[in-house]
Amino acid sequence: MKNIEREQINKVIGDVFMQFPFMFAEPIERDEIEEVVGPIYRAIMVFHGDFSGKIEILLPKEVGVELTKNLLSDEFDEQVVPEREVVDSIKELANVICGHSLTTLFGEERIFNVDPPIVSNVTQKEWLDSLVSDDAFYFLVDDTPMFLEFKHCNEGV
Amino acid sequence: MKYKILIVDDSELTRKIMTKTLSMTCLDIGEFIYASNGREALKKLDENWIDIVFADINMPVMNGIEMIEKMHEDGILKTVPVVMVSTDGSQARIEELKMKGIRAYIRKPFKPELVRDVVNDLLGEK
Ligand SMILES: [Mg+2]
Repeated sequence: MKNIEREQINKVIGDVFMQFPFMFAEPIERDEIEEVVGPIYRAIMVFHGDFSGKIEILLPKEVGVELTKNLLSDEFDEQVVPEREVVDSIKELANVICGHSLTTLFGEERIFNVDPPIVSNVTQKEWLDSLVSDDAFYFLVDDTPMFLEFKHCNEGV
Repeated sequence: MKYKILIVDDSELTRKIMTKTLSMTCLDIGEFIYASNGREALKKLDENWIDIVFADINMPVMNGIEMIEKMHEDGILKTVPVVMVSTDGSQARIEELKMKGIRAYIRKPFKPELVRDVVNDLLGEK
């Protein structure tokens, strides 16, 4: 991935978190990532069009819970946030990130078809294994690490 | 006049966010009605007098585009303004949707002020 693309993606993520759930996402280096405790989620979004590819996001449940609370304010102030709501929030976040990344990288004249996001749980080992990719981006979202990988190729599918 | 608003989205979370956002505006809203896909929305449109529809594009059973096509086959339903809400930023896609008959497009994430302006624009007294 080119440096200019990296800068664009970093900006998209920062803007999306700021405008959407009002959270602060700051790009960090791989070696700044600390161990994560608790469950981890993975969201995958596949897109097709003039360019095709996928966006993969890995984030600890902690970020998902915070995200849900911010999106639905008042609803879960003092209560435990149900799993289903957390998964739906992560899907919505992935949708927004994907939509904005595509126009930022490829312009507003292209049409992409995006499959619905798929959210699943990953193990600590999968989390650590994914941290070696060269296409990866790392962020601290309100002090919790998040990982994003953006892969695309020029052939339409 | 209190507005009756139909929110069509397969994600319950998105329906809640839309409701919350609309409620944050000073719009005079009488009632929210919900549907989780286009087919359900057509049924709700049949049973209720709806002032404005906010609809998602990608939904199972019947998507937002099929829904608007069906609405345009009906003399009365085609007069109900439909606002599409999506994360897609493609101008080409938005033009395509306007050709299908949507009256406005809102890109996510959005602020309450934008939603208010769109409603006032489409329903406000001129
Ligand atoms: Mg949808």
